[in-house]
Amino acid sequence: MLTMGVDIGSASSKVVILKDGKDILAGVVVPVGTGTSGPTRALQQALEMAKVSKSDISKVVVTGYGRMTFKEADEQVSEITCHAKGVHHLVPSARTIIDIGGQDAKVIKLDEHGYVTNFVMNEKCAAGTGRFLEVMARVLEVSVSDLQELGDQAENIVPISSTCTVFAESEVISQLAAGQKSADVVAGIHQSVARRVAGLAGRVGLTPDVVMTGGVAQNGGVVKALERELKVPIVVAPKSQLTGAIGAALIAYEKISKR
Amino acid sequence: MTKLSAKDAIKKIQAEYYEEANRAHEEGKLVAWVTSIAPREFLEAMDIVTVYPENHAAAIAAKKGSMEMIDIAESMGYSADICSYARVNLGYVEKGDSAAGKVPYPDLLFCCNNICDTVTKWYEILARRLNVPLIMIDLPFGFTPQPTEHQLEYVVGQFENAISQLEAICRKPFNYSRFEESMHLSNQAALLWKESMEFGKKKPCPFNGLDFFNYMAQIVCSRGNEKAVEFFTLLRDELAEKVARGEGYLAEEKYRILWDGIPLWYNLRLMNNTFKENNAVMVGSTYPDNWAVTYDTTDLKSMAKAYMGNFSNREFTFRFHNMLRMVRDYSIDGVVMHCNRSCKNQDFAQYALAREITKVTGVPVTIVDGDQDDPRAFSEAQYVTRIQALFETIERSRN
Amino acid sequence: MSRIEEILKEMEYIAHHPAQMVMKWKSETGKKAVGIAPIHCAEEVVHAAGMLPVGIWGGQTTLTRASEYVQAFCCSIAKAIMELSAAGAYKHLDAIVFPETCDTLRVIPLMMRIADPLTPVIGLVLPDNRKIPAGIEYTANEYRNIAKRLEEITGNMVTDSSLHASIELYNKHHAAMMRFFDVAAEHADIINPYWRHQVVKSSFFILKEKHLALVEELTAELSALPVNKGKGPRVVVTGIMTEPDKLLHLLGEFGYTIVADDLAQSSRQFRTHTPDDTDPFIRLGKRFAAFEGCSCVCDPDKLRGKILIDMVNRQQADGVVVLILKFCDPEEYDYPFIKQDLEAAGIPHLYLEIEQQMDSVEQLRTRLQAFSEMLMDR
Repeated sequence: MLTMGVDIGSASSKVVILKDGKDILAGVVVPVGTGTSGPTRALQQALEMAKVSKSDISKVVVTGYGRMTFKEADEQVSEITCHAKGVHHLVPSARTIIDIGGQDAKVIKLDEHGYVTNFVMNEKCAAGTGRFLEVMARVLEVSVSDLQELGDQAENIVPISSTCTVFAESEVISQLAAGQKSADVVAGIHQSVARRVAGLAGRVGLTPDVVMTGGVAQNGGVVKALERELKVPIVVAPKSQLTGAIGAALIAYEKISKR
Repeated sequence: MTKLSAKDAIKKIQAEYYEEANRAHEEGKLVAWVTSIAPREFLEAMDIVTVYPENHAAAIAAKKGSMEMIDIAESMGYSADICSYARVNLGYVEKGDSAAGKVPYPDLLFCCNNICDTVTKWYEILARRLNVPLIMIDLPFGFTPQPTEHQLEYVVGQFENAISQLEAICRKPFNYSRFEESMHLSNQAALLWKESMEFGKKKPCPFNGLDFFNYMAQIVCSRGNEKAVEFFTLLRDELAEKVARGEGYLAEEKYRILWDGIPLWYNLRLMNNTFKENNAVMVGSTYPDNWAVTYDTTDLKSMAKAYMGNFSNREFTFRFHNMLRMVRDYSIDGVVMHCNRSCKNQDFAQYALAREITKVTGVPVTIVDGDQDDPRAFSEAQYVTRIQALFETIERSRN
Repeated sequence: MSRIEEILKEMEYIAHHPAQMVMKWKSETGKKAVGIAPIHCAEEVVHAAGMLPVGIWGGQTTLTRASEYVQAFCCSIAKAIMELSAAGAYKHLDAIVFPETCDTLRVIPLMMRIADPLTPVIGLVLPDNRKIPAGIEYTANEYRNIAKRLEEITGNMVTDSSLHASIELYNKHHAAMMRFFDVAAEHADIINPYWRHQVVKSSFFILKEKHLALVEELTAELSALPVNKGKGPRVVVTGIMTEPDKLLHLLGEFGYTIVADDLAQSSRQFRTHTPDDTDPFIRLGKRFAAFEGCSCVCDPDKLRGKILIDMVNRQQADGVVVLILKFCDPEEYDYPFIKQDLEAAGIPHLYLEIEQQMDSVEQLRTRLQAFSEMLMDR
């Protein structure tokens, strides 16, 4: 039996096709999100990849920011529940998920079955999200993907204390103008994101294993900074961008199986 | 005391004060955590050592250690919106040490809400967290220009209740004669403090008003015992001598500034330098005046009224006239209001106050955004820009 | 339309048209109206003086003038009150009684006196030491003072017997509200969060005797119908309020049933019975002494967590939704201990930050949906 999970974020669209609730036949990421052709393209590409047609899919569950306007799903489920399910599938020992996306940050607690027991989300603020890193990367005149390598070269950490992204931006500019090395400033930026996320995580508590997902998980510098702040090892989920879609497909399967 | 300057004396005295506090339990004394304008005369009477979390939080920020405490509090779920003194202190409670050293944990809490409603919430939390008794001295907010008779009766009723609570906690009778002594000493210190502040009216001003934020520690911590009287006598005499010699803090006094509110404890150096570099001197502030608490020591209602009378416990007309008087008497050229993210009680009247002051006196007002203890709410660039703009406005009006 | 639908529609209209209700009252009776600001104020005093007490709880307004008076980090209720005051929306009130609730709300009336100097604002300062004899006496005296000031301004007097009568009426009304909440919890198909709020909100804009009649009739009609506990999560909500309407609709969308509340705008107004005494003002003092569990009322024993747990157990609720009004210091101070208490009792809760005027509820949607999934999966 085939089920499909669709995860439509603000910056990307992900689709996964799952066979019998176990095997991933297709996993697609298209780098544009809600309000674009992204979701439709991702769906098409996934069907092509799995060499099936839409009518072969028994149930479609959609999640993510753009779930409300996606017409081709049977049901919509929150990304909290889907991420937990998806991460559990990939890393069964996961009990805490830290998800830092483009616009928000979440920490999710889950039990041994992948069910959510608690969660907390960041309050409307760009600080501690991918957006923060984008703004800082622009100031440093590098791309976001260069930040990890740059941060690795740091000899010191130049702390960036402002919580507000706007203030932090001018703080970074001042530090560079004062002659601080870009690498050291990047280390400070990573630490700032980590601190913010650590504060969020503290509210629900950390139970190992701690797994990180979302776009920012690709930045090893942030992951290392987070490990330092939280004082726990962090596993970066494989296929970390697809966890929401995987979870959605799993939930679709579970719902059909129950009947 | 050897003839130290007030600046050196205060450092020494405060160090001794903290050392003594940290020895209190060894010496078999009880420790109370107390709010900054509480009637500590009651505690002095029972030989209870008083520790001030606000003062400690300010010291921690001055030593650049406030973020460490704030991070702990925020990870417990305390919002960044609440008072940073509370966050720093609640973080300290968990950590037990700080950049400004330790203070002993309390055996009781003595909370007086004449400064704000925040302390009521903060001390409720401390009472539960530390499992110690809380003595609440509720001084009703003044919507009317003067307190009503029934409000004074309520406060006196609470004073009497507090005495019973102290007797139960200390397991000894209330020492009325030491209480009386303490009231006298408190008034003495308050008068000396007021006298010292009022030298700011002189031209040239004999002091840097920012130093008063350090001297303040003694009027907070020791008002009501001999130490405060000693220190403020020293300060008063030192300033009187300077005035007699015509000695000013600055060689050239270009701008006489009134500061409204609490300083930026984590960056006193910036505050000092920005003024000094521009030949500006802070001659007065609305903040220290809160401790000029004087009253008739034979009348508890008079004591009640005095402790209800500080700036933040009053309605708009009082606050306005208070500032107006200072602008006039201290020959103020410009006013800087600190929009302190932690202090909504003060901040939300500032826009109206600023408008009225400029309207009536013609003196320009600038508002700077910051926080007393949380450096994240503060932008150095914005601060300097706004202060400079104030100086430029003053210049323009002179030409 | 059934009688139930009629009553609910009427209450919805009242709740959404406070200004109209005031004008109607004044033109029909020729009597006066006095505003009651949040949170704790015994409006019986106003009622006993033959005037209509009118709840002031901010509202859905675009904030343009408020920023001339207060900075951005002011709670949305206070900002809305400031906005409405500056716009002259309170001009039809003969006076406003403003309790000293918190640091923000103590300064707002001072600014209102400047923004709208023709509408008298009377401060009410209730005690922190409310249980000691001096505290009860003080509360009584504060209300005597309010009565006196109201007389000076409006000419209307309060007598002991009229105040006793008003207190009796309010005791009846409050008991009827608490009974309605219990019955509503058993009729989730009809009383969803949105309608439950209309019943509460409408109580602030008409005479209590009128509202009492409507609530009693509504409760009787509901009781005659079969019990329906709803399909979604049954929760207790806590915080200042469940506004705006968007939030209520969202709760309904995910099938939430509010089985009990600890809201400043709701049960904290109704859940404490006013005890007896020969002196009616002392009765008000005793009630304030007996009240427990508001972030804005001094509570050194921090009973709020226990009160919530009792509510959850009594109704066998699935969890608690904690609605933190952004920039509300008292609620923010209370949250960590509430969290601790609920976690120790094994009761799941959702932390939701709200504002009275919210353009977008998208972030709330995800949280509410995830929480309902979490509760239903259990």
